[in-house]
Amino acid sequence: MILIITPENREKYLGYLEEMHRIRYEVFVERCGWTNLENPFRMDIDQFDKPWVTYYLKLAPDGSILAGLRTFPTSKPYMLEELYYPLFVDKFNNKNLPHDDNVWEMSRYFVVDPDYRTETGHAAKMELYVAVFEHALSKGVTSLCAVGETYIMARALRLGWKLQPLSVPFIHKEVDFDGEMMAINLEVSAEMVAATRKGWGLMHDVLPSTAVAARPSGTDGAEVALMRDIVSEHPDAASQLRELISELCSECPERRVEAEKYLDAWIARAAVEGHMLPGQRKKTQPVVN
Amino acid sequence: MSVKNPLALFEILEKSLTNAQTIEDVNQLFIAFAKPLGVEFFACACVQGSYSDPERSRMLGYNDTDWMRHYMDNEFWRDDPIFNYGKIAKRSFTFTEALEEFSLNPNSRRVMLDAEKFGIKEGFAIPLDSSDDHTALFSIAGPYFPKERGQLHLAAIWAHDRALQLLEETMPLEKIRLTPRELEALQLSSEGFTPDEIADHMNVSLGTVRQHLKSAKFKSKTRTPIQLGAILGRKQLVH
Repeated sequence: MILIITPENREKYLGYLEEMHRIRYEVFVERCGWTNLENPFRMDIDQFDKPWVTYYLKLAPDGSILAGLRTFPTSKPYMLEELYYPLFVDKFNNKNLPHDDNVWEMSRYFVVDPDYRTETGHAAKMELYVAVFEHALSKGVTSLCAVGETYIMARALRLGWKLQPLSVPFIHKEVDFDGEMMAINLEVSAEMVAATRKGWGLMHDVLPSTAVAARPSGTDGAEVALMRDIVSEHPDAASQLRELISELCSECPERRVEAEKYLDAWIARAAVEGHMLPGQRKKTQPVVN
Repeated sequence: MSVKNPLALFEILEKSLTNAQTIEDVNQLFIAFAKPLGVEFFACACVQGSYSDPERSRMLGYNDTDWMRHYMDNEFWRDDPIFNYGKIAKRSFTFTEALEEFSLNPNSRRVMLDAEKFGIKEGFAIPLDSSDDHTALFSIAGPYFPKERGQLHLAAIWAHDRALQLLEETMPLEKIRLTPRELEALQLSSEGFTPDEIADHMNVSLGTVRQHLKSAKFKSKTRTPIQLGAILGRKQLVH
């Protein structure tokens, strides 16, 4: 079952997003060793986790998150152009870099347990990608771009995916990462969705038959990102803010309301220091259910 | 100011590949693309999965050359460090990188020394993981390290895929009428059994096994067992 969290329903599923950010931290920082993402809140939230993002989460029957990725239109600032292109300018044909509401970027793909298989014997990523393609198609998206490992491109072509390289392969080497990558644009069509399903032998619906129950939370990614910025300048505030997040996630409504007051005070302080971006945080109402 | 498109050559080749109708077309297109970049040798062969025995797995390349005859006659694939590193690599690698990873025995040293004598000194190889049962290795080389490695890399991925498509498209299933014994021999061959082992298993002579495999190739009008395997594997006659 794939839960799709869109800008329209994100308030309802903030609890899932919070768990996703924690799992991403576990996967990318603790397992993959991407130390540049380390932060005291132990949540992976980057500059592209914005309110306009759509998240796709593969859920286990008990509601735990098994895999995920995100998409958003390339009319917004996106990873491929903002992060990769400046590092590998001579590897890209920059004329082909998209800026289009109907061309979305896929990024932050993660799988908790690569050996997990559904009852039908499918890897979590298979249901996830089928959900992404079908959702994108339903929204009028014409193509998806991404940076991926070069090694998997032969397999993508075999599935019948129409790939347009946006770059030649490049070696992305950092202290804790060393991979041969390339940027691609993947055409989305009914034919490619059908070919993918056929290639993977995946014929069942991947979306839930009934709406997934709401899972609210006291925190939003933008708030945690803001707090992370504060901590980078005020390391002594880390323990207080970590405790604040814990209180915001408390099961006790009164404690959450109290924590919200402290949060507002921190946000006001951050604004004075110039941290808060206009429109970055929507003023939230305390959750008291 | 005009900025060089680092994909320009590949984009031309990619369009041409869609018009290729035969494996030989793909070969010729790749040669025309790669030769000006200093490529004097290339080969693409299956290294894992069905028909991973190199003697029978070649898909693309300069097959009819002195070097390839020398290579096959001496069964160099057994000790070729590039071929063996390609079985485990998850990214492209230069010959130098492969040699650093492998401790060379006298036989593998001989492969590399002989290659140099045939003018193959510098190059790189690309593992192509097309499915759970097919990984190919595309090797590209020359007397000097070829130019435009990135575009050659993309060209290898797309040429290999086009070759697989053609292998699948060129033979309608209904025209391949194999006998049960031919299919059995083919099945065992696809699982990596040698003709000797297949003969033992089927309780027939080596000559009969060879005849079964030859007949299967003849009926399907394929040149190599991997071509036949690609067709029959897709049609799920061989699992």
